Amino acid sequence: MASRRALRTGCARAVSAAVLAMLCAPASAQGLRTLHVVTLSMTADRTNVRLGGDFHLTIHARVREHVSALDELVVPEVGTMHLLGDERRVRRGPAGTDVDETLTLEPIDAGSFTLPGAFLDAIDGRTGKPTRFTANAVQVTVGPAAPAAGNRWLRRAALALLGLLVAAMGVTLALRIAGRGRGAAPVAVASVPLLASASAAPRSVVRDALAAYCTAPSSDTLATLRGAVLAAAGTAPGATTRDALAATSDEQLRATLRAAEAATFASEDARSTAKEQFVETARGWLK
Amino acid sequence: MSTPRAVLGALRQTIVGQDEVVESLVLTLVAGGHLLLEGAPGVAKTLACRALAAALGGMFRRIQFTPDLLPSDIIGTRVFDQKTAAFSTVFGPLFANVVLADEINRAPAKVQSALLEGMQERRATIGLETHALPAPFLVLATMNPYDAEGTYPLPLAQLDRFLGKVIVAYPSRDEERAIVDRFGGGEPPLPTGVATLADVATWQHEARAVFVDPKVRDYAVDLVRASRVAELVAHGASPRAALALVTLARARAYLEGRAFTVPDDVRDIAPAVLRHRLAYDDRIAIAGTDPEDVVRRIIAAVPAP
Repeated sequence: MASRRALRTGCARAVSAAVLAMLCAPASAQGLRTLHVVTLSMTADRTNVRLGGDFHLTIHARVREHVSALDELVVPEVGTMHLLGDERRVRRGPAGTDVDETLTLEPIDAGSFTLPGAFLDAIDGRTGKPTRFTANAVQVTVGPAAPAAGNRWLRRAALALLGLLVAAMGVTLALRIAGRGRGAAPVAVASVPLLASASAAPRSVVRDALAAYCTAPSSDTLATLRGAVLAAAGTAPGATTRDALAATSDEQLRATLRAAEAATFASEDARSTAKEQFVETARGWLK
Repeated sequence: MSTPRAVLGALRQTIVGQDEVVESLVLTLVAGGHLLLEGAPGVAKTLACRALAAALGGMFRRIQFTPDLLPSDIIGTRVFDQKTAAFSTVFGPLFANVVLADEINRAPAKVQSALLEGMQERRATIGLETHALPAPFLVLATMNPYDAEGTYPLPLAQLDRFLGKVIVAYPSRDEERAIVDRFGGGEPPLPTGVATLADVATWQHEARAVFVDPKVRDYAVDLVRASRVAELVAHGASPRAALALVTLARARAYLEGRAFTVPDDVRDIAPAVLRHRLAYDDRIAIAGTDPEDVVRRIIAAVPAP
């Protein structure tokens, strides 16, 4: 606990979010280790705390194997607390390995809180099956702040800017490490192309896109025009023609959608005709 | 010349429901690949394969995979003829146009390898001679997901040889009633003479000429790459999956009478292409997540062009 005082400096609070995110993240996506888990428990040194005070939450795990670390251990979500510090002790003995993870937490809201049990996923050495071992939950009651702690919030506000900066750096570093561990370039993953039924783009958007395409025909203006037609049917970006066809019963718009598809994906020799048909059907729908 | 749609129609006359299975069979035929069918016993996996073979008029062979099967049982062997005092070749059931490998996971690895080598190379070696397998050559393999005791699961590298995998689900109540009505009085005749082997060769040639826009190609590649970074997936799909997506998308466009592929072609066949190519993290069992949901999430996460 020697590091505790140092951690209570300003940047510690800000780093806490990044540290907690890393602690709470599931272990690597590789296969699970086989472990004989003997004990997994969670205790708090104080269960009645005042705002401005702190307490220690200790997670104790004992496994029969000799391990150097227990990366599988996932600490509970402590969204209503600041993480001031984190200390891990690993002791190897004849009966196996004892791991103690001690979190120093500071409540930020008054009330009664139940901290869900920490858990670890492993292949159970007894049964050979993937199993989630879960520790007991811990309940903590947080009372109002002591009178002397009144200016504590001012100090927090002053440190918030610095904290945000450090947290951003921490998250960036964590993401970089995670990306390196994967060994493959990440793919740009967009949101699910859900139907946005009530947000059909107005005809004016299609009209503008059509005018832009007719003025300067290019693959970009064609894509913009097709996107406007898809949106007019009530679909979000990333949807397909079938999604749009399912979203509208307007026969002229449906014909325009089909023409847009042909104009976009047909082979070069067939595309010029398809583009003309697309423009014609789009004009027909706009009338 | 007949069309793939005619074969599709003939199969639908025989098989009640199972639209995805029937369409996948025809798509795989047009694409020139092989298909894995997984389903409980009695859901018309074998009947669908037999109906396809009958519709084409090609040679159909069924191999029931068992633990004591030997590679020579499927490829063939050399036998000594005492009359001529010479060895002659006896071809195994692999030398057919449509081969049904029933319960492929019940045979040991060396038999699976012999079959899969034939699927990949489209030829088989008997003794010192290498023989080309007939064209078209289509392997339809079935697996039962339940009786896993005493089976030999196919490794990912071998599963990758299959263009797609379809799940043959139980029929709906109405479909099951229709099955009882249709098959209660005995098995109806299978469709015959719907198409010829020459027709199939033409379809395969024409399907290969279907245009794939770079945007559609990139969409297929992005789907495969997304599978490698997906949650709960330990090993994603290989580059062969991207090829399979584009090949089947071409076949689908051809089946629908289009000369070009569209993103819907890729998205529709993506589950069949991806589901058997992913190795899942052990946490999928703990989370109780259906692997099909993981595949669906991968597909939903990649925007179509």
